[in-house]
Amino acid sequence: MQPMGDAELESVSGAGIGFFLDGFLYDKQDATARIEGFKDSNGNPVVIHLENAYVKGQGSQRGTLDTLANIGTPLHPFRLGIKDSSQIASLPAGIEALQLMTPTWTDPLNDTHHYGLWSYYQGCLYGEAGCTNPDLALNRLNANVAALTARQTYLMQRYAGVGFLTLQQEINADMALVQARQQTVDTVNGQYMAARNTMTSLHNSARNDLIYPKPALGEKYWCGTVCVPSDVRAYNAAVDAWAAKGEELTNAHVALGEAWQVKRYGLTLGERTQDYNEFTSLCGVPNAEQPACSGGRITKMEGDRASLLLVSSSLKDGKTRVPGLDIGFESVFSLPSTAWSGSPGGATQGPTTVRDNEFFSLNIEGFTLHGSYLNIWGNQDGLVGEVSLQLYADKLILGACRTCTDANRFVAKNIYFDLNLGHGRYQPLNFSVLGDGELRFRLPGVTWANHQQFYEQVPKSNISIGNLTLSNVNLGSQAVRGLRIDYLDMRTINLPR
Amino acid sequence: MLRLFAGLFCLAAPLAMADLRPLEETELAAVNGQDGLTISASIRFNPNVSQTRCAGGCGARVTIRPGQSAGVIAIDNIKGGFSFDGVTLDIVTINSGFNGEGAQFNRDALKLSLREAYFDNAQYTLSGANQVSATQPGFQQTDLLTYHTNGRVDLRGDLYIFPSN
Repeated sequence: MQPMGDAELESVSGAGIGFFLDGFLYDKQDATARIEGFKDSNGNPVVIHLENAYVKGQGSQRGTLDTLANIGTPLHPFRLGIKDSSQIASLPAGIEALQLMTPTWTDPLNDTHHYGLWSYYQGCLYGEAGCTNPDLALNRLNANVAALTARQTYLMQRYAGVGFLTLQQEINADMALVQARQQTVDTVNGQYMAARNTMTSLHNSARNDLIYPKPALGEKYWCGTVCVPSDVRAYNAAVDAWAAKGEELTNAHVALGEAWQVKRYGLTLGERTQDYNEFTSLCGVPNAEQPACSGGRITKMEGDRASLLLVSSSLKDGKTRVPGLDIGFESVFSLPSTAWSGSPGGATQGPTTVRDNEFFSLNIEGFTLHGSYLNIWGNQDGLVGEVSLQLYADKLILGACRTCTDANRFVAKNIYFDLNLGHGRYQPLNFSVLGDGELRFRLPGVTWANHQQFYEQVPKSNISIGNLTLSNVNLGSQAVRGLRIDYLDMRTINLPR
Repeated sequence: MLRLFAGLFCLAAPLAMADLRPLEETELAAVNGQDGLTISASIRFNPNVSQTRCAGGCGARVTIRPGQSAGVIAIDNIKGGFSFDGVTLDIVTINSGFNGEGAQFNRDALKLSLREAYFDNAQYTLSGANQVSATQPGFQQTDLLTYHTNGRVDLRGDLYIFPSN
């Protein structure tokens, strides 16, 4: 044993800790497990019995093999430590936050940003039959860019003699008439509604007797303009006023429609506006008569190319991903089922029977959380934070049948959730428990004072699925890109049952 | 402390008739906690039958109050037996293995290993509540879910913990 020298002691400080889990396996085996606390529509408890639950290493064949999982490695551990604004750019100055970071790699295959994007374009699960070409993603991207560029070329040619700045100016000029006529429509619509209200209230108070039987709303009493009683006369006059306003409104709508039909070089205002918007969506807002793409979908897709190239060349070099986790469970529960009979209008409730042993299973293959982080700290609002979740899974299978194959299940492949919630300075995620014990999540809204920085800096979220099949019906790829929450206030509510 | 023990050995040596001899500093330095600890942990939370708001009495209750919150998050009604067999706690030097990362790492880490776990009607309820104590008047709680498990589960793995930046 050696005493520590001053120099050695000095180098020890309150650093964070790193940890990783090696050779991990969880299998429920023969133990029983159930989740309680839910109620059905009749107020009876619903108990979810877990028949099977596991967390194992990738390749466990949905938990049937005891493959061990390694969650993190010595050089890529989970990290828990205190960070300040010099280390985390989004933190407010002077704040120190507790940061939990999941194992993080920077190579293209294990950087979830690159791999998630590549897997979305790839569509199929790499390594499965028919999915061994790592360039498939790139080919798809090229095909998509080519299709969009063809639209861009078409629009450029259509307005070659006009120019896009002129096109916009002319649209703006023609829109003045549309706006004026739209205002007329709005005004007349208001008057029409007022006339209708007057007519309705007069109809309600008007008499209904043998000589003057009350007509349906909108129809006049038989006596027309020669009625004697004042209430009848007033109602008949209101019907005339309402009908006149109706005609006026129709004419205003027709005039508005005509304003959209104003033509220049053979193209209506409607067509020109649609073309201009399509071009903006493809290439960003035009900044010249013959603009190059400065934004929009084409530029965004071109930006994805670098990630795709990195991943495909790594795969061609024979590199592999760090294995993820296989997670899954099977559950059974019982729900009440109520029979209804009779016509839709007068349906009667039959006896409620309990449908036993409803089955639900979830299996996730090759799940990773690489590169995610959670930063939390306290301020006058309480516990605040920012979180970035980088969830990737090769496959996710939802099943409602016990003895069936994936042909009868919901199967999603190449799932990437890039979820970013909260920004330390402009939109800290606030978590609190309310006075009645309910939970509350809040993301403060954008303000006029910070809107510019807000839209520049608050991170967006992306969700993509390479391929989705539902009972063997192929729904193709799905993506939500560039999602950002302007304001969120979410709280739990205990339903009164 | 070790110096003190070494000193005691020195005093005892002349009195002892057996062949005991004091350990030298260098020998003592070579003695190290080689084998770590093996722990068999069994924890049981018995319900408090005087608390009637839970069926069969309530178990233990842990609450967390997020900053500035009016209410608390509660892990409530923790009861039953939790046993962990073959838990070992050790300090190990990672200097090999792990696909070559061990040699690069070449440092000590605290290693916590688990082989198996047994639950005897163990359960807990995740809730949100308006106050810490469930026995004070005005108590209000929303139970999110209750997890209940019974039997032996396969739960194994080695958790390594070490200082890091």
